[in-house]
Amino acid sequence: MTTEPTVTLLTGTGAGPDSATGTFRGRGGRLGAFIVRRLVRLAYSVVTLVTVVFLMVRLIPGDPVRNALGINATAAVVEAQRESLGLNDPLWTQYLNFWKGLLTWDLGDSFSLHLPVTTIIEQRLPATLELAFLSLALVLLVSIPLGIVVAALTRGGRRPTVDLAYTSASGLFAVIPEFLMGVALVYFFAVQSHLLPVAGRTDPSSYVLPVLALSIAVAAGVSRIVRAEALTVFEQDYIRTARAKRMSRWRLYFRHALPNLVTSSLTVAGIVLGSLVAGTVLIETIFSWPGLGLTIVDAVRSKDFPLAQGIVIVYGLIVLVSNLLIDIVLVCLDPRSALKDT
Amino acid sequence: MNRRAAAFAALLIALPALAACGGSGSASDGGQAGFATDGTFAFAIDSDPGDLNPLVTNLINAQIVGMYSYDTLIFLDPETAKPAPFLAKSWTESPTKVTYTLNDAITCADGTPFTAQTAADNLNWIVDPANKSPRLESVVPADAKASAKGNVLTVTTSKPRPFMLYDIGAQQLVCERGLKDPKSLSAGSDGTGPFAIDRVVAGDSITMTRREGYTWGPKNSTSNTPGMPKTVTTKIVPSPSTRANLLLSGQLNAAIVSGKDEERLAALKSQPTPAMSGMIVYNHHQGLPTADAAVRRALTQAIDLDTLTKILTGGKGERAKSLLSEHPSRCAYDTVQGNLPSYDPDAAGQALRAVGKPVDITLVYDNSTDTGSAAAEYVAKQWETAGAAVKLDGGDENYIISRTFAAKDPSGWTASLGLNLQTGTPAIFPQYLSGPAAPAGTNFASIDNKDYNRSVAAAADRTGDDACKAWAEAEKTLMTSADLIPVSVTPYKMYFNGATALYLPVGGSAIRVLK
Amino acid sequence: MAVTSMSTPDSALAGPAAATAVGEPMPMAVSSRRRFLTVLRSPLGIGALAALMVVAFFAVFGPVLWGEAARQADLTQLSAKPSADHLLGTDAGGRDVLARVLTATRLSIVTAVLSAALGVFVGVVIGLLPTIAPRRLGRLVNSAIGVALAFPALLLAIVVSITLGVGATSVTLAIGLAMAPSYARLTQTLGASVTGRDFVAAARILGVSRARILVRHVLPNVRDPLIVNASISAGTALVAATGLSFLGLGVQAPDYDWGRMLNESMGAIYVNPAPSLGLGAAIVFAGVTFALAGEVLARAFGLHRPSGRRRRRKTTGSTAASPVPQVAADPVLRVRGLRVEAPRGDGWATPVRGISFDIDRGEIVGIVGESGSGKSLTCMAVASLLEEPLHVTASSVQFDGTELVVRGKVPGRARSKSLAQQLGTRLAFVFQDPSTSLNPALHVGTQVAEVGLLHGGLSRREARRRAVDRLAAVRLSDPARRARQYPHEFSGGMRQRATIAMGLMGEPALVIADEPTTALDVTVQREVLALLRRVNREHGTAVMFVSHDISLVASFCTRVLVMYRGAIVESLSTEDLANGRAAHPYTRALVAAVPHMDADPGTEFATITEGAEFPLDAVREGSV
Repeated sequence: MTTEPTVTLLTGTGAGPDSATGTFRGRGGRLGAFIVRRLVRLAYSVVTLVTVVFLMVRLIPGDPVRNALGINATAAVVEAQRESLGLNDPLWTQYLNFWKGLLTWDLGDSFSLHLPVTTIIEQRLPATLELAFLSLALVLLVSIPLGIVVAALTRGGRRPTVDLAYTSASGLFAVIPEFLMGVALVYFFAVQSHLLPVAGRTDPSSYVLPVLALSIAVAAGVSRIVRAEALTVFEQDYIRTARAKRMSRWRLYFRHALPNLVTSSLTVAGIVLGSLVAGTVLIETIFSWPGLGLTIVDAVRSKDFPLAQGIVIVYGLIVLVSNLLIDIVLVCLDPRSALKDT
Repeated sequence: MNRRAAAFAALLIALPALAACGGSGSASDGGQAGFATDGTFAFAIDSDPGDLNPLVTNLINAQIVGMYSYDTLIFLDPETAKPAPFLAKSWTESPTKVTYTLNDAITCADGTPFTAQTAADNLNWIVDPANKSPRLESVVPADAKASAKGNVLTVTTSKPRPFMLYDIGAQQLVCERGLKDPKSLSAGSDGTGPFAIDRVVAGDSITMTRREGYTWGPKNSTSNTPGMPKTVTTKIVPSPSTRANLLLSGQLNAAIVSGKDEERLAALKSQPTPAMSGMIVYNHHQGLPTADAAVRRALTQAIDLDTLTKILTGGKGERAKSLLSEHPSRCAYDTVQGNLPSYDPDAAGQALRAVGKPVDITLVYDNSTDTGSAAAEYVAKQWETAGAAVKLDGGDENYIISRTFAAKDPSGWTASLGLNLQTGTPAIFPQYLSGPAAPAGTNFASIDNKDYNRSVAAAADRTGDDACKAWAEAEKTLMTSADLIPVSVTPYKMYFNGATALYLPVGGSAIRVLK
Repeated sequence: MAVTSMSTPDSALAGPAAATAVGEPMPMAVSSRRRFLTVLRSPLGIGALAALMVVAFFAVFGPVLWGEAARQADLTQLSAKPSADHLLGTDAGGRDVLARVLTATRLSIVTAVLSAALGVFVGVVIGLLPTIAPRRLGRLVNSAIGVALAFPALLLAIVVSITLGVGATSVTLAIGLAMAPSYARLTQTLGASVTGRDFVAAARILGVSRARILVRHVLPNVRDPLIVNASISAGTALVAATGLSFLGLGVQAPDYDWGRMLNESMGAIYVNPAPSLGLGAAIVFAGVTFALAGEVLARAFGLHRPSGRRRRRKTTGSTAASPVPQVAADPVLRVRGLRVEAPRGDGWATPVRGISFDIDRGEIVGIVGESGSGKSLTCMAVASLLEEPLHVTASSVQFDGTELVVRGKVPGRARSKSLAQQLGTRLAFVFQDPSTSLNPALHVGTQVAEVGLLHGGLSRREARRRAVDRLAAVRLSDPARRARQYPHEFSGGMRQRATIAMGLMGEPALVIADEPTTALDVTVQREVLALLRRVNREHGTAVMFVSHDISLVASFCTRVLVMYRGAIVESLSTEDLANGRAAHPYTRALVAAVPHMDADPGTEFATITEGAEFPLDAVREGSV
């Protein structure tokens, strides 16, 4: 059976920035210049990612060719295969060839599945992305309003019972392993009551359970971060200023507080996305979801170099590019963040 | 046990009978009246089959899918364990030459004819090193030469190949068009089988539709036989629990489920495929304590193999009677009884003390299931009680292979529990249990049993029942010196809901959909 | 000091401690130990402590008490379902699952805690590098952290496990290292926010070494959030261990932790859910415990406000004399018996003790007193802006002829739309810290225009036009462009002008200016005061001017109220004050403590002896 809470491996759920107020120094910093700067950084992040992945995959002990050919292949056959795959070339030659392949979107053939890696990725990536982004959307849609509402209800020590209930419940949901959640959801909504499909990616109803299983723990964790941020924001002087104008609570929270929460929420979203993408591994197993999650585990285990490094790089690119997009969105929403020189 | 272990086993042997389902008896008990016309059949495999071209894949799941679109030269009748006609209507065999006479009027799904020449082209394509087919050696000997004359296919080799008739007879064959464009077969089909692949959704499903004019199926199965499904869907479902859920909810008609979830499927009809699920292999590498037959025998004595079987198989399996696990097997014999040392912990302790030096053991085991780990812990405890020092070294099947079979350091392990040699063909064994040791050769446990080597040489030239007797004698020599211990056989079950298989192996023309 | 940019509130070298003392959102300074005790005594604290003790008990005594039972294999009972003998059933080797769950507590918890500690340690070391390293290297480290975050931890964990060999050690290392990048990012973000502050910049210019800055300024500021997150991460490490077990890379037999056991029991979850549920419960319980501990720490460190339980407010009478103020005929503000109570520890503090005063129309009244004397609370209370958990009572608070007191209490918000409109348009505020009192995420123009939109019945466009007009009225150059800018593009003085412009959207009868110039340098201070005076003159707006700077008050106001420990101890005209006719010893001490008119803020009370006591009785009735 399967257990793979990579969410937590990736981020350590609670680790979000705790300060909503950014530092701002200097003026200027136009969007264009910012994007150029970030693109340059993205470029060398990608180079680092590719290099590290390339080296790391080769660090994994074991013979990929032996794994691919099975134990009945003779040593001579294995050696011939090795040679023809270029595994006997010097490392830097392999590295350059790898880059060449990457730039022409030709990552070689999977050792185990005998199909072009790019084909496998193209076919399965959409399913994983759907799962990850739908979950991200659900996480944000639930956790931000929830965090704000709970913060509003409990700010300054009000309603200690609500506080205690929320803290316990969110703490509880945040640590329920997602596979346990997945199995429980399947048991109650599919096996027992036949309300939703057991597994597979077919009609829209088949999305409900996997997305829920992937999102609930993360949403609970993120709502805690949002709430902590919201509490900080509510203490800010500008909220007092706004209150002095005598407006409705709704307007106070969502017009004045929310924009200041978007920064941290989106930053958290960037971190969470990486873990959601990785968290799909287990969910895909439970729900037989035809994505990349399961493929990568098998690829790494069977030392399917081309496939493993291809998928890891694609995963990394998703996270890097999403974070770039999030940063750009942030700058549009809150120009101060362009000035942060992180 | 999970299906991965079975998949690994398939790397060793090449018969679809093992690949899918063997066993005696048939699941057919729905009368003709109960069959649905033009129904839909959905079944599950546990991992992505990858490239579906049967000439380039050793993956068991690809072979299972292949059974629907491709036929083999002969059909191994599960009731008689004898070859029966399929693409070939008759055959001849000798240790270095086999011939198959093909049926007339065999057509591919697209209507083009399938001839002996096409079959020869298939085999020669595999033999061509440029094609890097993993079927080379595992199925088709590297020194094989295939030729066709009229409707007769002839394959010759330079060295004797005792079971070549069955090996080549089990290769799924593709049609000319596919042979010319192998890439088109990666996610499609071009064969003589009853179904043609429509659509492949990677990692998810493969959809096939019934062709017309199929008349050469085993047991008179044709495309017009009642109950033959119109559509077949293969779903990739890795989790056995999920497969059970899908079976129960009717989203699947057939799937192999093994382990605890079987309890929930008690109401469904099932078809077992016994397979080797537990085997202890001792490493005979020079310098290891297990190079000494006395130590191996003592260690074997220390374990109650009945208890170990119970733990390993979760109470579902039984003791193995020989190294042969596949059903139907070419031979049937019991080499364990009276040859393998029996359970006697006191004697084991004395024997180990008599060795006079510490017995340090690294036990490599399959930790991917609770039963595998519990079994390893049981073995370790028994051995420690007898006076050995045991280090447990667990991993999945790939890890076990890399620690044992593909290890750079052949002395890095002492014993393994989880590396199961799986075959019904005793002639497969010598290449793993004798000859040049690893890493140069495939004799991964560095076994050098003179009696065995001699008996094998004597058995190689024989055929039929005579051969089986000779192979049994050879195997007994392995048991008496406790070279490797076959422990348990588990009946992996395929469960059916709304469908059945008229005969084995399950797949292709054997499937019938119920009303 | 040159480095004291106009935009930042903190005095240049005071450091973070001083920075927190400037504002006074809570009336009393609670010591951290006291806050910790307070949190511990809350239901949350008690719950966390109890849970932590349970976890610790099983971690310490589990293997001692149940270790033997966990080893006993009953080979007739393999994978048995729960029974009286085996409450959670047995495993595949016939051993009691419950005993094994309890025994495994130690290994599971130790692994989790150690890996969280490792992740934090490595993360902090890497995350601090950009702070102390040369700029170029720092950027490199930053981008490395970025890549590490994008790198699937799964692969990292697999590589670590395979390289080091599987087992508890590599589980710890793998999880720890996989967590490190997010801690590095957190540390780096926190560190950057600290180093961005002026006291660090100033320290740098003064030649303080990077290492010293790190130890003195950066570490203390990143420590608390890190501890909080680390305690939560220990819980996630538990779950991560089950992930490694899924890959066969977890703790190996014969050792066992919850991860390995859960992974092995999952295969039977539909048939025999008891072991999985038991293990799930153990993991969830420990995880919640760690999360609660983190929450308690967070509150104890004041990362967010302690939410103590609601205490029953004691209903004693007023403790201080309530001087009867001079009565104005038609005051813009009339306050009688105003009292503010705030929860503190187990009981209640009374930072404002039943004060009474009037402010006449067009008058400029100063309120002086040291930090914590209740000035700011008074301002907020009379404006009906103090909310729970503070209790504001008064016999009467009349603003602009409208009674704000309802059933003896001053509510935290306007009770009706018309009152909201009156308060929104007739009462204006200027707050102390211009860098924080404007919303950083909204355009200045939007914020100025809002009152017109809310209460003036203006359309969006009209409100906007009037906002630009108001910005021009406070002499902001190029107001149309300024209106489209964000507060961070303004200097401190400009922000205060914008705040005043915000007040001028309506027709304010009273401006409450709470230390409006404290954070500004002297030149800008003068400009802002001049603007306030102009508003006072041109619109007849009264000004309630709060300051701790008695000399400033003396030069700006017509009348002075002196506050000491929540009471108005003296009310006198600035003329009397200037001529040394102050009667109360506290007032005299205040005057004496002023070294000269341009006193450096931060030293103003230097000569009032710490802990000096002054009588709380008012000495003289106020006179205009």
